[in-house]
Amino acid sequence: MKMSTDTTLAIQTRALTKHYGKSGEIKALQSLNLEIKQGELFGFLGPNGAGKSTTIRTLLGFLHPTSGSASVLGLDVVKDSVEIRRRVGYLPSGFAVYDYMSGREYLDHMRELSGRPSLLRHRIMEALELSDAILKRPVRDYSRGMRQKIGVVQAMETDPELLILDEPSEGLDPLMQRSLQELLLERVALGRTVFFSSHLISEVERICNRVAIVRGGQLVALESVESLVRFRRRRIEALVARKLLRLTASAGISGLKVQAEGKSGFRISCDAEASAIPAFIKRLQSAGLRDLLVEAASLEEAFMSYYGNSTRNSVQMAPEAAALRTSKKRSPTKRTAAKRAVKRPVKKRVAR
Amino acid sequence: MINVVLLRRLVRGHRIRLAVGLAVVVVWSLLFPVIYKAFVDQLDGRPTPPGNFSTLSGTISVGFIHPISIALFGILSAGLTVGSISGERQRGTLELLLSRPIPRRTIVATMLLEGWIGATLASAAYVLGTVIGAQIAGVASELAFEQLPALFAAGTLFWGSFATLAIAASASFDRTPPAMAITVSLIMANYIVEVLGSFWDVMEPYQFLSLFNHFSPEGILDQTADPAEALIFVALTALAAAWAFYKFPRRDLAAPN
Repeated sequence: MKMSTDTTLAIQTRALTKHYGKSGEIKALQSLNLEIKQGELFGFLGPNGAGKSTTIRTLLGFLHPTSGSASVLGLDVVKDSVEIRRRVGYLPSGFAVYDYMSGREYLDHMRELSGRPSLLRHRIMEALELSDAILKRPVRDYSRGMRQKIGVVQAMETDPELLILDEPSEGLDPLMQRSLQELLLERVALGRTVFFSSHLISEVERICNRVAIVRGGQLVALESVESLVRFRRRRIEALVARKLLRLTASAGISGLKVQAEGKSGFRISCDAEASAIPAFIKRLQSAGLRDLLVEAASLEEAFMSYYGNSTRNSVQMAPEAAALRTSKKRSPTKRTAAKRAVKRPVKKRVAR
Repeated sequence: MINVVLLRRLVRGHRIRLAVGLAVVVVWSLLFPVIYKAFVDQLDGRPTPPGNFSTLSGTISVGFIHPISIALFGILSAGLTVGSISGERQRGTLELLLSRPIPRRTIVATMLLEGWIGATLASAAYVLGTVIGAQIAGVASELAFEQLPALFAAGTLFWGSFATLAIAASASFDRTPPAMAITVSLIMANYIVEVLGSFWDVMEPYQFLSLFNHFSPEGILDQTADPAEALIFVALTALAAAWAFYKFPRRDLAAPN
């Protein structure tokens, strides 16, 4: 299949399909369409076996597409695989090293194989707290986290145009995960593109511009992180002085529970659609609001909504996903209201 | 076609195996001229019985195709290539090697070259040990020095062809054990056919099927070997290399388990 390549796109796939087995019985990827712009920090989510690694490996030429096509940095993944790999930094999931080498020898070897100078090694080592003394030790003595740091350095040190990272935070402690995220944001700010798969949804939520969710080899969502989160429900907990009447009648409010808390008043908990929150808070205020917790929907909830309702591997659009599509067609007024109501998806606590 | 950085790392990774193996080959090969001298001395002027040990070239030949030699040469040639691609795949290190801008054929060629370097060094070590042994035993005058380059070349070609078969197997599997099993089975089958054919009439007509039957160190040293037999090994090498160069670039390398 011939494809016109857009040079402003870092990655483009067109009906990319990959089947395994003699008769193609294992459908690892089914007609995947993706467009990732240069300078994007793109998250790729999906459970095990969803097709994340298959996509990455096809982009790097490790796998040959059954049908469809893909380009990386405007180059065809089949014909120009070597040139693509010259310009891409890659960190595989379950990163393995040559145990008989020291960290420094390994990094020097990988850099020599890439044929490019090391531009960022010291910067990355500093960010990931890798000292010279550590690099002198044999890799076989490294902990899993230390090995992962070496993997990150080898992928990033030549400052490639595109970074493809498969589960980059694997084995890193939360502090190092944050450092890695800052490094990635730094590269993106300088115009590099980052495409990474992750199981850490919070990580994707924190740093990515857009996210794709795959399941059973098919794309089930491709949205900005903000969009995905915006239309998820919020968890509200409030303490009010007086009991509210006709609360269940409020549109967009569900799972309402009211409990008397003695002299403190009444504790109210419910789930709310983003658009319903401003009006609901006004009502709480009229009942003497004393404490309020609005827990922003996490991407994890969004993610689970795509997966939670299916017990089979067949691809079905989850109700939430369908709702997401529908909500995009809502009137501009409602969208704006929703946007205003939840500008930042963070935990908010209001005490009075 | 060859990646020097990769070759350097491969040789470095096998340096202990190479150093120890080559030292053992030298020691092993220098034993045979000494054994020959001891045998001749024991005869003490009596007529020499027929058999390999009755001549220096025959004794050297026994050493070259002795099971211990086969194990040593196998480790130093096919043993280097059999775990090259499949071993990297099994350990998960092939991922990052393939992520570098190196064509897959270059990876095959470089790994194959390492096997041939091993075969070359092992043959050179055998010839060196033979010369040292002949000097120690005082039978250097009986050694056909002018034929030693041919013996070296033939040994290199013989074991180089097995190294090529090994990389063809290595390029075809995700794990080393199946590649190893195929390579060892091929070497063993060839050896068994040759040995059986040498003392069992029923098997004698099939002896020509064995590659060992076409590699005769004694014939090379005595200048009775047919140089055209080298073409068998050249053809075998070409076929096995063609398979590896065809197969590996076309393989789908799914994520390792």
